[in-house]
Amino acid sequence: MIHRAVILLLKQALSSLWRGGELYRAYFGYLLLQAIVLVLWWPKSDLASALERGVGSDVLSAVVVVAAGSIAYTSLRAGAEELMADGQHSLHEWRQVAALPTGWLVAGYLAGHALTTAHLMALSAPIVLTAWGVGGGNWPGLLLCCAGVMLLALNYRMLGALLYLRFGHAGSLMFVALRGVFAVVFVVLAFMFPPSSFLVLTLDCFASAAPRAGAAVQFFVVYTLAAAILTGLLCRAINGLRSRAALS
Amino acid sequence: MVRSVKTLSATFGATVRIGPAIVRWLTVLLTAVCSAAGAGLQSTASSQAGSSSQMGLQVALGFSGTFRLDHWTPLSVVVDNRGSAIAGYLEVMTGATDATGGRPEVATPGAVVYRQPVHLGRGAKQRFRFTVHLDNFAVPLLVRVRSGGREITRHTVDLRRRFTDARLLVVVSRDADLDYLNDSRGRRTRVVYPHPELLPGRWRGYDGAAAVVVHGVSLEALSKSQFDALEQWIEAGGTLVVGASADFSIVHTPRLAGLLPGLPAGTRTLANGEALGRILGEQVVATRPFSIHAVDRFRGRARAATGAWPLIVEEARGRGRVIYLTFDVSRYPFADWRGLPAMWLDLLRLGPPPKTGLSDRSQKHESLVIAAIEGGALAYPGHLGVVAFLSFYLCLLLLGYATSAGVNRTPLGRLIPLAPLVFAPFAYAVFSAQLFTSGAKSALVTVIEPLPGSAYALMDLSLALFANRRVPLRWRYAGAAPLWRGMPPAAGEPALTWTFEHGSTGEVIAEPLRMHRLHLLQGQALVPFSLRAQALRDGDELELRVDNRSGADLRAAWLIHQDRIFPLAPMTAGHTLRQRAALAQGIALDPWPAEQLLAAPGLSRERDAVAKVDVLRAVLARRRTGETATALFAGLTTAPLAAVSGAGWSYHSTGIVVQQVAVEARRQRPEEVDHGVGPDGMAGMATEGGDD
Repeated sequence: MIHRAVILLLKQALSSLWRGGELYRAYFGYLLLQAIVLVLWWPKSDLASALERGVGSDVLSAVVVVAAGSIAYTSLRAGAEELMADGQHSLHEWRQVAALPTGWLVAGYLAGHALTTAHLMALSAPIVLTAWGVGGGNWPGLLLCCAGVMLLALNYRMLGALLYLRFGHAGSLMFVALRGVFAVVFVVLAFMFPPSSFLVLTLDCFASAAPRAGAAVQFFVVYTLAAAILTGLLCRAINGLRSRAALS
Repeated sequence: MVRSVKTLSATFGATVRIGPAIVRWLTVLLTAVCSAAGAGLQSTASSQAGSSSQMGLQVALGFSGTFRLDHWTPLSVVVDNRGSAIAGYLEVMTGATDATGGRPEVATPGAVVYRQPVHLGRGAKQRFRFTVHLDNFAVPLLVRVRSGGREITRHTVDLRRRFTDARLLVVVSRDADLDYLNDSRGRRTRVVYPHPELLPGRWRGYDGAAAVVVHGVSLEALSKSQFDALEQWIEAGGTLVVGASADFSIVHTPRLAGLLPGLPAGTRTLANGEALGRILGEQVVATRPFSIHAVDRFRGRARAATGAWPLIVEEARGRGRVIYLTFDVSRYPFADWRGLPAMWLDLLRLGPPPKTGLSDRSQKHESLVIAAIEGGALAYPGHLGVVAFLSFYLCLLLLGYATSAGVNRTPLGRLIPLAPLVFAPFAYAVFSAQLFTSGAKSALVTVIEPLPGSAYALMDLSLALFANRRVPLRWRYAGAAPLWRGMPPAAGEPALTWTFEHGSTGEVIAEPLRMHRLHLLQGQALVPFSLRAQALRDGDELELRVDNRSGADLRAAWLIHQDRIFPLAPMTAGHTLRQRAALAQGIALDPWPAEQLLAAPGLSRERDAVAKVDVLRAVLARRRTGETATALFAGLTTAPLAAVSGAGWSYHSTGIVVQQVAVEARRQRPEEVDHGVGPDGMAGMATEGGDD
């Protein structure tokens, strides 16, 4: 049986879709970025010369990677509560509701986040589907990428939430920390440890004639393990704050 | 057994009592179970062993085991299934080898697989005919039967002892001996005597043959496909020589009678060979009478005759010819006639063959289909549409977000979260499903060239396949059965494995998949397609008459003469067109008049008109001679061969009919044709047409 808190958090996430707010306005900027990438990556030469060179258009991969990066970054900022939808309660506020068990609170928080992420993906869908035919899209690959984005966004959300619970709204420190974490995890780590790279997953799904065996599995194992650790850390951080509040 | 069961019952006698009747029943039951199990084991063993050893393959390559290198050659495989019923494929592989050269394997890059489905019942035997192109004798030919992904049996053919670079003279005879033509006078000719049963089943199988000589045998034993192949090969340019034999009735058999330019009413006896010697150019030593076939009426022309009786009758058929020798070359007095080799060489036009090196064989011509792709037959959607769509979508989102804040939502703001439900399917439908699909694509250019005076046309196909995502490159087609050849890959690129399947529909398979690479093929077939064009020059005017008996519409047509092109009226099937044009009013071909051609009534309605005009330009560049005595007729039609629509395939096809037309000078102006303005605004042209 699902706890009432999960329903409440889901309802809040759902109503925030209609209320809009800072989160969606910020994501609009990222949609603009995705559209610019689509136009820049759109094939400039005709098909005959592309075939002569044997190089296909990688517009779909480019758009999917930028969309994934946008959603991950938005999730990180939303986790750190830099971006919030109108009418959305912060994690600190929810934490203070003593009747909510921590496990259910985190479950509801993440379920609400999943709904928001799905909506962000839907907002990017017209741009991705414009590139679909030219970029050689395939449905299994897209499903895999969607699942990858969900997992990626989940991790970034929890990472943001942990930073928020640890540092709070600490002005410029938090600002720099968030961007630094994103740059390190999304870009640097991906280069150093390719199984964690969403770019590798995307290229494997859309741009490769023969997919590398286990590339997707590696990605999902890495991020599922990371999500499990981050969930544990998040629960621990919330419990710690609750016990400190109870003591005080 | 009964005793052992009784012992068993005695052992447990304290608790179990088994009566004699039950013991008997148990005995019977056990015996039955053991027998059934034994039989089962036996049958499994036999089916496993039998699957490979109980199937026989008899392979006959080329003509009498000889094939001409770098030409299409016939291959006959008899599959004898002595085991259980089988459903699978019979595959013939060329160029398939492994690193050690021991067992040829399918996965070898550059291998070509010819495949036919096989369904054979227990004890059934069936002959399968293939036409294969062999350009490498170092690698053995592999023939194998596969079923359920498993190889049942295989047979390899060492090609090193079977190839020849010489032209083949195919002699179908029981007693004629033309061995004196072997390599005669450095003409690189080899005489072969195949069994009629092993003659090709497709016209292209005669590719390596300079001529076919039929002597003393009828063609009634040939299968329909074999006879059709022979007939079509003649139409496509082959030479058939039928020699008279002692058995007068043979030439009266239906198939030969249909091929010959004339039939003998009887025989005529000649007293000596003196007259013949004069006619044939070499003295015929004949001291006693001999007979020839007496042909009084014939088509074509008599190359040599004695009095009213022709000795050699020749008739043109399509591009080829049929020659009827009314005398018996294997009997007195011709068997020892010294003039026979010279006569054959002259008759068969066996001049010195052109010198072709390996570099010439692998010479790569640019495929016509490239012109179609460059002309935008398959093209990316333009930037403009993408920018317009994105601008609209993002502006709508911006408007929605900007006009709504908090709980004060405008109606637009309330709808914004649902915007992707409209825009995402729209983007998919327009940019992916309609303008450029994701997946495999094919473009086909078909050039149909009606053979002169024939009901057939030669069909040259240029096919391009490519994929922009992971999808098997399996292209299915129907309507004709061409022979395909994959074009060599670009320098530095690994070769592909091609599979050509002939079944109820044809299939072309390219493996392994290389995305964003153009896979090019050339094909050729002979199809029923009758179109006759005649051009007459009358001073400064040109008059054209075209009888379209092809059964296909010509949606647009042109006449090309010297350096000008004249648009003609479209022609429906069965239509006869007469059109006259002033020479000065043709459109100059230099610079290429794309705009004027696109405005032609038949072409302006075509969806991919630009690509079609580009293909026309490429075809003309190859076929146009520029001579004053000839013109070229070109028309746009639907190709007889078409792709069988499959999931994920997008397909473009351009069919062009071309025919060289001799321009004859006209002495008298025809009164039935009036000058004036033709239909559809073709100034200076008169058109007259009608459905006959």
